[in-house]
Amino acid sequence: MTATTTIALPAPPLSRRFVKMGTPMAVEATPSDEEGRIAARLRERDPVALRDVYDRFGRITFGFLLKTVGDRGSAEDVQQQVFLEVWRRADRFDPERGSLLTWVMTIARSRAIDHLRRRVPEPVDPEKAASAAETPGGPSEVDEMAERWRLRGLLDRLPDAESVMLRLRFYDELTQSEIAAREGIPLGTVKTRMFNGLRRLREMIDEEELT
Amino acid sequence: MTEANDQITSYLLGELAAEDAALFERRLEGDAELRAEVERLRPLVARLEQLPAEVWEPAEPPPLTMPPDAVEPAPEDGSERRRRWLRLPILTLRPLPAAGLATLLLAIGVVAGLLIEGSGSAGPGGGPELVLSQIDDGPDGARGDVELAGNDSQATLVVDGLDPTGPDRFYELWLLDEDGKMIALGSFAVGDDGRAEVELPIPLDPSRYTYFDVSLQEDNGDPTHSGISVLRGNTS
Repeated sequence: MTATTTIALPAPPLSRRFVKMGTPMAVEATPSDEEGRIAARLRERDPVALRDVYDRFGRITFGFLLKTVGDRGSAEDVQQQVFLEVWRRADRFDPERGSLLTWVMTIARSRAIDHLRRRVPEPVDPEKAASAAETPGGPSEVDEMAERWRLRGLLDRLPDAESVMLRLRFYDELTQSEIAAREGIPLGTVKTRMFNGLRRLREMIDEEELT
Repeated sequence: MTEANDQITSYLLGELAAEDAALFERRLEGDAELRAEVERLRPLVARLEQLPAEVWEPAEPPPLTMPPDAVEPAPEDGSERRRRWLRLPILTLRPLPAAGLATLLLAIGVVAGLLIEGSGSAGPGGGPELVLSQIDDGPDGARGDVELAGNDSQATLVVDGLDPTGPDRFYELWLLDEDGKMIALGSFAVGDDGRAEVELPIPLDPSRYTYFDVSLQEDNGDPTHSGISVLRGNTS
């Protein structure tokens, strides 16, 4: 009997791990804590952990792959390769060297580059080889896209109240006053959440880059 | 610092009036800490402003295909049985029973195909809604429908009028073709109200098969079709 197993996965939920208990904000458990627990279960070969990883990062890696490899069919194939590798190399994940998000995105980046290299014949001329790295779809552009999607992964870690502010400002392009009117909250609250969201995001980036 | 924080944000977002921005910049010149905070956040704001729409609204990823060695543990009790619909064994029939079962199902399918009413109207979700009708082993009045979505990669199955499954049985949705080839899409339980609604991934193009088929299965670990079909409908 041939057997395969497929799982339908919902979109990764926005983080709800920060609980407001007056001022200042109290932290119940950080996303890093949760990722650490998932990673530990993954290393223990818990299949449910793989599903949790996919819940958390599947949309991010797929968005990245879709943009990088260009067509949905190829992106789906590479996506499956990525999570197969996540499963098979779980014992090599070292939380001291970076977050689970960064590790998964590193695998996605590598598999995307592999795919692009297979698709485009290797240039014979060394000069062309040098320029190939800078052409659309080359490693530098892939890296840039990977960074964008990694940033998206960090945005997902923000408390809802803050990530909503950033989304309304940077995606919907509303001013803070417009956000206040639309959300029915004081302008001061919008500004505070906006600042907290930006600063928290900056801290996460710093933490990711330091590890 | 709250007032300063608010000003930092408004300044970086370009929301300060010209004279307020000029005042803030003069303040920055004399406040190294404030200046450092602004310079720390400035590149982040620039990055967020450059994020393309697809990053904010990512495409739906495909269902995860679990590696063969990553099969989730078998449920230990009946309460976990509903999760079985997540697993999608592609089945080949056992040689001897297979021949008989395939012939039987094919025969039923041909007859059922003549009886099944036309389908393909739009469902509540906007996708094609395919009607499942009661077949010989199904209780009178049983009915169901399958609504496809996401380029036919997802389906919502609604059934009504089926016998309750109880602790030792479950229903299974299949894709079935006229050569006897079939694939199990997922299993589900039905309570005393005879109704169930489940969402499940469709791992391949359903139009490659002729029928959606719902079977009643004994919970005996046998992954093959029981031969007891209760509902069936065309895939298109």
